Amino acid sequence: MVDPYYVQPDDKLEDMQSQLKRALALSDADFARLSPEVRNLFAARRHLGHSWLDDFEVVVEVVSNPGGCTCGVAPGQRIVLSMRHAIKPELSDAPLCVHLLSPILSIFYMTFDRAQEGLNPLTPIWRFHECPHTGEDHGASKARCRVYLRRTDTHEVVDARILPGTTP
Amino acid sequence: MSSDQFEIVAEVTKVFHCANFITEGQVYVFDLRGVLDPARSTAPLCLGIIAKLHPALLLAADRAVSGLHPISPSWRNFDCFDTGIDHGGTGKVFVRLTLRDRTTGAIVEDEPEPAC
Repeated sequence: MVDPYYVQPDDKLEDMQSQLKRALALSDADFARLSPEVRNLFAARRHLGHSWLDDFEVVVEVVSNPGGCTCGVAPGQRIVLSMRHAIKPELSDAPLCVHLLSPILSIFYMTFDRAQEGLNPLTPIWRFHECPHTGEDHGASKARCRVYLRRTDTHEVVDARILPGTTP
Repeated sequence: MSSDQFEIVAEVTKVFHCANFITEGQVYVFDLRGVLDPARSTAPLCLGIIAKLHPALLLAADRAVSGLHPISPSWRNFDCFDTGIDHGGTGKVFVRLTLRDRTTGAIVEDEPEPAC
């Protein structure tokens, strides 16, 4: 039995099918091949609105780097990403160090999962990350960052568990 | 090997159904420390492929300090974390790594693949 909350086998996402086909270059046959899990992902639009991927962005803010890394990240610098987990270089002022950035991808697995549940896409738990370069000082000098969600238009930080105007 | 002389180029070799609209021939450019250069990269900066390259960048740095060609002949083709439409996901991006001289722009010849 499929959880009634999830997309049902006969739910073909008719309300968004044409937009998705156009955006992702999906033919009718392609669309028919989408897994239920991916259709659950797309169905998040029913909870958070069809523009949720454009309405918000994730900010990675460096909170400390007492000397362990040489890439040049410094407290206060930011890396801004779209909800499609693409870096927005025009809004970012930190060096795009892949060592610091790669753990951030896990945030986006959670954003898609939480959006599909109708929740604020940003996890309330895994908001602090760090460079994997530990060193002999047991990580004391590694770069660390925090993550938050903000509106794309106003840059207002979004902390509510249920986003205003949405239907979980 | 000077870490400033060379850069790693990840060129997109194949792509389908990508939500970030990455296209073939676009590139990501990294220095040998693993820092992405957004000004010299032409592909949308999708973390789904960039993060997948993290082990490759660690490997390249390790090989460089050991005096080896930074791009391993065994690990130079990678794809993104999306499993693709036929495997429970949606899109897929493939890249191929090469080493480039930052000053001249010349591609450094690959290290030959090891004989089996």
